[in-house]
Amino acid sequence: MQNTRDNETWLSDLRAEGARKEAALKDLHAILLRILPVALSRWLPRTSSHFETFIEDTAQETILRVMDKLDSFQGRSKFTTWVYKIAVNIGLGELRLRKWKEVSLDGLEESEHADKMPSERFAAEAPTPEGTLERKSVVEMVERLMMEELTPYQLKVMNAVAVQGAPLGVVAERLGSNRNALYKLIHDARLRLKNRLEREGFSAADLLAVFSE
Amino acid sequence: MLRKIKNWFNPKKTSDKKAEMTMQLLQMLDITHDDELSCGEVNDLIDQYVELKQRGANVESLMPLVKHHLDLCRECFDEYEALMAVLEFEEAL
Repeated sequence: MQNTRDNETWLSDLRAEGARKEAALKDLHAILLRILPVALSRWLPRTSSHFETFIEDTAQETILRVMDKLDSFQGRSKFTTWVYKIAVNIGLGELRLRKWKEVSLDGLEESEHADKMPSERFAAEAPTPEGTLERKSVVEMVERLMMEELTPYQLKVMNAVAVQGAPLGVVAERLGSNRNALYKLIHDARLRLKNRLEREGFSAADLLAVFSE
Repeated sequence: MLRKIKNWFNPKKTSDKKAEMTMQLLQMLDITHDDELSCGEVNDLIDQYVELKQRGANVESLMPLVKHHLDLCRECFDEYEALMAVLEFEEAL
């Protein structure tokens, strides 16, 4: 596998014409076919009927994107790592869209697709009767604050993304928005809720402690 | 829209499910900061971040805002994990 070029050589070869450029594109394609199954293995089993087609399509799309963005490469990483970043973004983005294709955004409230946040670290044990009452109070208070603090749009997006686990990119696609805009919207909503909790005399950590007791 | 808002508090939801949802939200609020990077800003830096991580650098202190975003954003965290898997694969070759 011809992954011996340094960053400058990759750039100059891909900017060249004729056989030199063709050789670089061929090598890049081969590298992508090698690494994409590794990168996507958690989300795309090799036994999947569309595995090979998906890998090939993602490799092709990545090369197009790389050539389009070549001038934006700033050399802060290896060129190949930069390419992998683009490939992963394209591949995972497409897999998420396919996975959620049949799921109605309106139905996300009851969806079983929710995933855990990576930061999740509190295990809920069976509560005592007193603990159950406390938890119920916290749940009700958080619900009330959400209703009072968030706009209907924030509530809808928070519900889909932050609570139920729908991917940001999927919700953005449905709403005609983008990941950056929705992340900012959710960030604003989190800040509002956090500040409101503080005004009520609580911190999120205080309330979480109720669930870990 | 009102119907959707009401669905949030659908009484059919079990109390366990609501408690779990509340916990997830509170966990996010607990680590919410005034200044956070967007997904795009993290994407700009993630190739640098994974290479540093791969070399054993303390990325949490070198690039704390990226680490913080990864703790909050599952999609960016997935992309980080996929990239790390590739770098580890290449190193093992």
